[in-house]
Amino acid sequence: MTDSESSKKNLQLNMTRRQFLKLSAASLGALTFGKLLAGCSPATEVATEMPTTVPLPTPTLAGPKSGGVLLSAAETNPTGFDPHKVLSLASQSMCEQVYDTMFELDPDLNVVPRLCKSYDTPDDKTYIFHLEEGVQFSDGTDLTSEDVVFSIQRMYDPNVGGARAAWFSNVDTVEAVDPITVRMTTKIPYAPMINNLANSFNGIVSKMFCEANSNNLDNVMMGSGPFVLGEYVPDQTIRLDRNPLYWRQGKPYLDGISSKIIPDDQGRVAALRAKEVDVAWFIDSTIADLFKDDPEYVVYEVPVLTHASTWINCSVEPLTDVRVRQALSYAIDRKAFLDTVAFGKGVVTGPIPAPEMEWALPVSDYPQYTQNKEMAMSLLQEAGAEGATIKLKVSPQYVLDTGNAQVLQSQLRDVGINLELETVEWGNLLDAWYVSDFEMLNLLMLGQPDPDGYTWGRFHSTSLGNFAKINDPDLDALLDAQRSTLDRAARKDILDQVQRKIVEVTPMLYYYCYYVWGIFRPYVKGVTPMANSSGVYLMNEWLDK
Amino acid sequence: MRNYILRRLAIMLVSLVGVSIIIFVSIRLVPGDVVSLMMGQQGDMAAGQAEQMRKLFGLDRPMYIQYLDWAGDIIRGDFGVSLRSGRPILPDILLRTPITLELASLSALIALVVSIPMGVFAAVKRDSIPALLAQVGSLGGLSIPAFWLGTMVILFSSRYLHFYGGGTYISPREDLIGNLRMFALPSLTVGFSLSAALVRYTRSAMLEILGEDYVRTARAKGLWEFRVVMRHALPNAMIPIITVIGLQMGFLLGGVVVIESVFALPGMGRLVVDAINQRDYPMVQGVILLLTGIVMLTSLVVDLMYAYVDPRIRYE
Repeated sequence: MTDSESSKKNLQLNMTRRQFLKLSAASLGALTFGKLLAGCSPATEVATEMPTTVPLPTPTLAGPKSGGVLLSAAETNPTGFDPHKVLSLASQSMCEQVYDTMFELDPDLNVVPRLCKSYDTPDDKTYIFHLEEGVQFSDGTDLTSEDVVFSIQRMYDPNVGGARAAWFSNVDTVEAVDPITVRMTTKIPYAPMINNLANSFNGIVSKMFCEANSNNLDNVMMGSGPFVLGEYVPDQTIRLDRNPLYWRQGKPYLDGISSKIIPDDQGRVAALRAKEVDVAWFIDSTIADLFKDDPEYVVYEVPVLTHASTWINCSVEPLTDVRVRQALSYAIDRKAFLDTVAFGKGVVTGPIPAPEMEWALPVSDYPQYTQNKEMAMSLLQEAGAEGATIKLKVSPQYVLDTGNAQVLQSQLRDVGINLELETVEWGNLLDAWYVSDFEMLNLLMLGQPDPDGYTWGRFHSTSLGNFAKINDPDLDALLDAQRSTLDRAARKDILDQVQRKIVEVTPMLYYYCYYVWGIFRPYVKGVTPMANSSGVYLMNEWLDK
Repeated sequence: MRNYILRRLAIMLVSLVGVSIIIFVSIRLVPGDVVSLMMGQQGDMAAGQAEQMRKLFGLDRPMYIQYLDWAGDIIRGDFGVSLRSGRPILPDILLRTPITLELASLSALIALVVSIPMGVFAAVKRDSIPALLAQVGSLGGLSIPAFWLGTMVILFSSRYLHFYGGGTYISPREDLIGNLRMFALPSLTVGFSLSAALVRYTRSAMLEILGEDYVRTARAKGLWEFRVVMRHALPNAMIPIITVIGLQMGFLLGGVVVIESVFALPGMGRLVVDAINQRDYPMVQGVILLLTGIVMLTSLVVDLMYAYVDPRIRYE
């Protein structure tokens, strides 16, 4: 099946699903119910395979009701409003409510249409995007192909300084064919393009609005998304109001979302307890435990794409020798990391995070994931690296990173490796990472919109993000192949090989993806937690009160 | 007096220039610049953009040029734009100033109202049980960390009183009761910690004064004990107390960041700590410069109050 055929098939299936959703919100409840039911089990047992998603809230048979304002507790301020420049999740969570994207990810992280209702790929370097008709920005102007062309060009315009410009560096031309058709060509066949356009940072902005604001969107927002910016007071509140012109019939259900910014975990717990907010999110599982048995709250357990890992610098001795790196991989018991550091609340992962169900290989496919200390010691002996001392940089910024460092130190000691921990300040750690000034370095790595980000972006010898300094021609060839294969099934086969190869040559040790917890008041319905921490389905949430 | 104030203001100005240079240089010496921190763990994704972003922020220019540009803007009243959020800095600082000032003032007021009578009592009736309890209480206040006390207070109030109140600032002009409700818990928490130190200072200053000859003389004249304490002893014990309050005000203006975080109070402390963590250079420079100015002014006011409470002190 070609990419074009498969994408059309996806669209067709999705349209059916969307019509289905429009017809019956009870069905939405049932769909969600099914997803949630599948995710009920992992709480007590250590998961090494991916749970589908979250535990079961009480299903609702009543239809969605419009109205009401959702009160939420946010952790931090957004760091600007320009969808193409911002990097923080706090900004993303606002941008994805105010701006539409060409595509979006469904709860299983599959690409489905949004502004682009379908697309054709007449050849592997050309995309013809067909836009939804009748879409308006919240100021009442029409969203046309001119806006899409302007937005895509803006994403990689060096004068804008877009944070994700590299994703679009392979774009050759973008042009408007007619008001609802856009033609884009790429310099090379580039498979990640559609996933990149589905990333909720890459919103479609109004050309007219940008020009009226001198192309500076740092402090203003106006898009075609389900909500509009009502008010933002730094360190205090963010208020989003319903966009009455939103093009998806009946959406959003909420009149608005009002977020208090409460940075402290205990502050958010107190706000929930005092019933001053309807929802708050936590990484700390012990907080979720406080609410688990309380009928006044519903706890959602969501596996996330963020993965605990250790970078290995393949350009410094003795780590230049692949046998030493493999020995590290054989020496560790990844389940013990999960159990000890994250209290078993997560799932062991490989190079592509386990919640990326379309792409991630099950970890049972990797022989290196079965701890084998004899093999590790034998490899070290072959490489002449017995008793080697290796330095690991770690920052106290995240308790999981320091915990993982201690477990790693203890497990490597068993095979005779002396791991010296060097604790550095967060900024210092990032600086060291960017210039590969480390032997090994612990870092929680974030999710990427496309598997290319976990693979080519990190380990291709020409990638600027190859901080592990690995240079393996076989791996490079596989990485290039997955990038240029548009057919998803064929690409999946190559990515399987890529993942096995990455685990084999070990430029990085992967441990686990952890869970986060959303604590909701029970009357908040239609909740669709996403592994990529996106709130793109907030438009489906409603208040049953 | 006028000459003294003018001289102090001139010294303040010179000090502010010195402080501005120290802040400007020191924040840039901390490893990890704003671009690194912005990219965070997404650095592998945005690696190609780092130089572009530094150029857009003007961080590729020599440091002295960056300083001169910034200092010139400050003189014109322009604090610049946050590198992190792109928002103008001065309005963001001014938004937080009343919150920090109110928290500091209310906490200091609570501390004064509680600690001075307790300290005086503990000195006058130094061997009594209530005096002992006052001392134990003050020792407890010194020993209990404010962040722990704050956490306990909000957990208790949210669980049993169903009240949290943090997150959104209510101006006293809009709703005085709402404003006081918002500040009640944090200012009680900070006030408790602050009063612990003040009780001890008040007690020791009073003990010293009560042993002075002129107090004995006053008593020998047959004055009522209350009048001896309030008229002759307490005013003379006020100088060390005012000094401590002055020093604590400096701390309260920028140092109660944990309390601000726990109670979700959008004050200056939180602003500056976030800005430092994110290496938002112009924001750090702007806030610290302003805080330095406020602390220097507070110190001037404290010095002037010495003359008010003790007529022997003259500023020439």
